[in-house]
Amino acid sequence: MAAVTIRKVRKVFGKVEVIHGVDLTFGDGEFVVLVGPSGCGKSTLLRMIAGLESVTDGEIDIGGVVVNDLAPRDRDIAMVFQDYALYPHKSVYDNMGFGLKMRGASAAEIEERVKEASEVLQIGHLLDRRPGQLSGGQRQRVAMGRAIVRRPKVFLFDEPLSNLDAQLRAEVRIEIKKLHQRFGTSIVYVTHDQVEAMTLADRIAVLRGGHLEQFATPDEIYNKPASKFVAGFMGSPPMSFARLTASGDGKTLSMPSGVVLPARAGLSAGRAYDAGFRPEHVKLGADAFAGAVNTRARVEILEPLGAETLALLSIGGALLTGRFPPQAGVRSGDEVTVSLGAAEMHLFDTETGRALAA
Amino acid sequence: MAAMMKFPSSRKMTLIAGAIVAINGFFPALWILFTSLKTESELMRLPITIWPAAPTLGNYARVFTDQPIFLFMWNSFVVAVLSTILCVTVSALAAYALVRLRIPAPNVILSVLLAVAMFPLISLMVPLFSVMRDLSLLNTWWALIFPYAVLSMPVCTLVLISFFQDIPRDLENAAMIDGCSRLGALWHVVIPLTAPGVFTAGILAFVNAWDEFLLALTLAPRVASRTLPVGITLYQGEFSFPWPIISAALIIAIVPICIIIAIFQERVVGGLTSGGVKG
Repeated sequence: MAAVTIRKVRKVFGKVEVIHGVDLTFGDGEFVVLVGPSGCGKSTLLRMIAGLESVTDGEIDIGGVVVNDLAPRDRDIAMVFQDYALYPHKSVYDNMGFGLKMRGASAAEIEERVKEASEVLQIGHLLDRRPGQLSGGQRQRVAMGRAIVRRPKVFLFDEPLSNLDAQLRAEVRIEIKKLHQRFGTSIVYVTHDQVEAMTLADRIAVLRGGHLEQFATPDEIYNKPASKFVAGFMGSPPMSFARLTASGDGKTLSMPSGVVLPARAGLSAGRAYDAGFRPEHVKLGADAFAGAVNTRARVEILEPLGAETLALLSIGGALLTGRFPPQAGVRSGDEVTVSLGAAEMHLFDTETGRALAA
Repeated sequence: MAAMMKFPSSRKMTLIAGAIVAINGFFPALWILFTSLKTESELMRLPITIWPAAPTLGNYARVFTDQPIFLFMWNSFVVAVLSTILCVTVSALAAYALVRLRIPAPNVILSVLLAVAMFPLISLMVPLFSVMRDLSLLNTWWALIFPYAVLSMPVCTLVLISFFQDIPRDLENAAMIDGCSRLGALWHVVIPLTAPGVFTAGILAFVNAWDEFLLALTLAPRVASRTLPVGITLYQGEFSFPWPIISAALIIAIVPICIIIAIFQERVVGGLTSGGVKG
């Protein structure tokens, strides 16, 4: 187990800078998820931690040792790859024991550790098989087994669930969480799936275009997004936005349709702001919660999910998503009254996209 | 209305093409085999016969008694094996570097490498002879091992490149994280997974070395260092061409090649990489 510090790390491929001076520090045993859209640099950052990509500038420190110039094998890390990367010519047992063998472990020690890991992952009956004889989920378990037998300082996961179907993904996600609770080893986990990020992480680093947008707990990321990008990326469904204009005294905000919402902080008079609403703060009916602002909305699209129905609403020119009860008796095209959670509203600068202090 | 011209089906075309290739390849070999079983008088008799009228193994006995064919074979074997090992080792490293390392202009390097293979062998004879003489390597195995290895390198590198390109990079990355150096990953992961390619390259290099005549005649002409192709020329006299004995020697010369190909053909089976990564 080890703490990891990333200091002003940059990565340049040819003339393209893909990581722009990222700073991240996380503690011993912490589960950190790097999340962001395709091309945000999350996998590149992970591969730099692994030593599979060189660091153009800055420092990566694992357990108090700067590892920039260390080969992957000398960093005491283990990695689970998106495509499993199991050795096709070796049995499951040999795949799992290969790392120990290369480090000079005795046959008895290899057997003991492989056995232990295979029991944890319930793959003991597969040890004699080759990867080609396994299902996707089994291969993923073997890939994790190969990582845990080594007992490294840090586990690195590169989108390990992206090749699994939805049901299996949910199962393996729980197993990964269990593994973390059992071994307590630091984990850096890359994904573009914000559900994985929210459910697994102790802290989430949201990346965009090679910049770190926010590094915080899932709760903070969800409830106090640092930027409009984070707010729009995290959450399922994500936050929806409306452009509002501050009144002359800066104490209220108004929609083009005339709906007026109270502002929390002093705003610049007449200036436009992007207001973000989580779907749970857009509810059907008047005064659905304390401090709500009631307004009329047109239901554009309904998405029934069983336990609830997501409604895409047109409110004064803005499209907001709301969570409706499952049997609300509402149909697409209906005009309804909805409550907007003015107190829970997030405000963002229209130019920088940064959140305004509450 | 005239009947439309009917083209043979693709299956028939394949059979015809296959038959042409097989006859072209096997007929000379069969002719040599039948010749090796004939007496010299039968061979010269008209009309020409295909099957030996009275098959004899006497020519084979003469192959072993007339000349030190075991010595020629040993020379050929050592030269072919060592040049193959050297060739495949260097070609594997070159192919790996061209496929994986971030070296400038890999395609230019590969083109230059292949251009080397375009040189007519005869144009290399004088410089090679001069170099080997200066190194005091004439009439030694090394006089042939080095040129044979180098001459087979372009094609072996090309073969290995095509196989290495199919290996997912993450397999090597996994090996490097598991404790391998880059060369270790090549040895433990890439080479075993590209065994069909490695054996193909090895067989190409071996056959090239085993069959080569011109360099062997020039660089190792002494009887003690002669390889099989050159040694077989010793069976001809100043005024005589004992074709049945020479044919028998040729049949003996191709036996090791047949054995090697028979042994390794099972290894030259693809599909080893299936299942290691998603697919």
